[in-house]
Amino acid sequence: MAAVFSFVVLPGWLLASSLPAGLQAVSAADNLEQAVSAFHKGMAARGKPDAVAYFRQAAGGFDELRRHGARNAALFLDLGNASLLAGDLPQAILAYRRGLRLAPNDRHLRANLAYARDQVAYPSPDHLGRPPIDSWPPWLPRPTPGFTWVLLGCAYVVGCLLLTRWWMTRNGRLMFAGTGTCMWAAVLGAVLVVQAWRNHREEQHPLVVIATDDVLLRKGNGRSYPPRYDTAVNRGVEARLRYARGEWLQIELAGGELGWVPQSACLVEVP
Amino acid sequence: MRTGTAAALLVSAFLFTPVATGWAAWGEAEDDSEPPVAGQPADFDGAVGSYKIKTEARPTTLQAEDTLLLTARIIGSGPAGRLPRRPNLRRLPDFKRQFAIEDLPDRDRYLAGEHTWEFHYRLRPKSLMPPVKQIPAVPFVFFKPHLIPPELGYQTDYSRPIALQLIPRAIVQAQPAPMPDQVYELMEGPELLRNDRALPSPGPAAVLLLLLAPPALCAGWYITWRRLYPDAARLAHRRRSRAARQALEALHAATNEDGAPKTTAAVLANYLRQRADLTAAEPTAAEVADHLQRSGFSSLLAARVAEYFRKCDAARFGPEPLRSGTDFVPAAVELILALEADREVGE
Repeated sequence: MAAVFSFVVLPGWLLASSLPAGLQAVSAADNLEQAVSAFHKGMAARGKPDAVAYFRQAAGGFDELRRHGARNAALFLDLGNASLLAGDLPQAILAYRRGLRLAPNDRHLRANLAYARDQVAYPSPDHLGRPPIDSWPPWLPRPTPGFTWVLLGCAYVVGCLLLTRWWMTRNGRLMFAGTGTCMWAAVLGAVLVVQAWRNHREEQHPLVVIATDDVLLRKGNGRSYPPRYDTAVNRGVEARLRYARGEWLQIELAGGELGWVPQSACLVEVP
Repeated sequence: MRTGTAAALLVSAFLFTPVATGWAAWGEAEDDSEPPVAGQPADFDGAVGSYKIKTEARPTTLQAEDTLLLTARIIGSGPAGRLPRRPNLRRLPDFKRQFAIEDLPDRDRYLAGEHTWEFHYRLRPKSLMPPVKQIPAVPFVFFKPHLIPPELGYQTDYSRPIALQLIPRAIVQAQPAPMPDQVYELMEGPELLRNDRALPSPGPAAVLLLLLAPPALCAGWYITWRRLYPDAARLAHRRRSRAARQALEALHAATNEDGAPKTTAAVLANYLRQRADLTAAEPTAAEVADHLQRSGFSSLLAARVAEYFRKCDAARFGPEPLRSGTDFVPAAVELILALEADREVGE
């Protein structure tokens, strides 16, 4: 019995436990190569009917990489571009938003998201679900949590050093400089609190993108419930998930409008 | 000429009061044409007479969210002052739910020869599921007099619904606009396989450490500095005495000019008033020595301070004022520091 274990079971188990990691790496690299190749083929067939199929294949490959754990701004940019070129607007918006969570200052992601949002048919004249206009100056980098933490640490340390030196020398300028720096540190601390609150909110209420046209927001989780609004929302409209009940999701649009939609009509950002 | 004017007036009266021609027959029965309050429908708008309503729309085949023009024609006659008014489509739930309604009163007209009132609207079918399929019937409520009992005179005529064909926008937009070049950009390389998870926020322990570490570092720096530079530390401590700091600042501003004895003596006296509770406004050297000794300062220091005051007095009031030989400002600074040191020892 021990011999059987030593010669058959143990090597088999070792092989089984070591192969998947290797295969996974090979598979990921292969997936990437295939997706990139499909994208290039789509580029070559640009303007022809075949192009959409190639871009769809590329988008599928990039999404497969994401599902296997790859997460970076470049991948999400490629996924978004391939999806957009394949005509999958909701998937493109979701990919760009995912990328921007990782790299809020990526100009390509932001520009392409703006273009994708322009393609969404928001119902006029009430523009139900249209995201608010981004008023952040384009030249000003958005503070990422890591950068804010570093800045806060530096400001706090410098402020403490300046105040200590003032305590030694009683030089009034040092006191002013130290107090000012500590106040900046406090402001950065407040920014961090806001960022943490936003992150918590995003984790609690993941992003939802409407995937089909003419989706009515209903008052309850079923088709028997009446619509909450007369206007239907179209594919590409972004929202936040509030609750899930069965096959229905309660979502909140950018303007605060609430309603229930079928899960099949949505893409949900699963962290 | 007079005949022509009268004819013109007659013609204009007929033209601008078109109802006059159509409702001559109602003249005799005007008393009966008053609509009764009893049984009056809520949507009755005051029209008296006999009327029919018809509607016309164009186009009837359109894309979702496009607009169409609706014309409502009310044909009939009635007494002056009881004419049909523009039907309010917003009061009709079916219209309000299915269309964005815009009134076009500028286009309204009365066709006298046909006894017809025309009212115009611009309608925009909303994006609904199921989509809008028809323009509903428009009701027109009027009162027909001479019926007994009178409340039976309230009658409603309906236009026929008009079928609409709404083409979804997705179908209409068969030729998408060309994509911008930025969408055709592709990032390549092994970095696409990276997992850049956002850095987790530090926990409470890390935040506490961040809060406490810099003050601890600064405390360490301060202690080291005190050990390495004890004189500087002592000086700094002395400077912490508010009275001493103010006096030293005043002395730094003073110069060894003619007024130095008076200025420095005043600064020193003021310092002693704040620091040693000296009460005299312009103390003499003897008063200062006596007060400092009683306040616990060393007799040697008290003597030095008194000597300083004596020199100041001599410089100010003596027969031959001292123009040089004594640096009043540095001496005063030295005395203040000595007094602070002595007070520290006492404390």
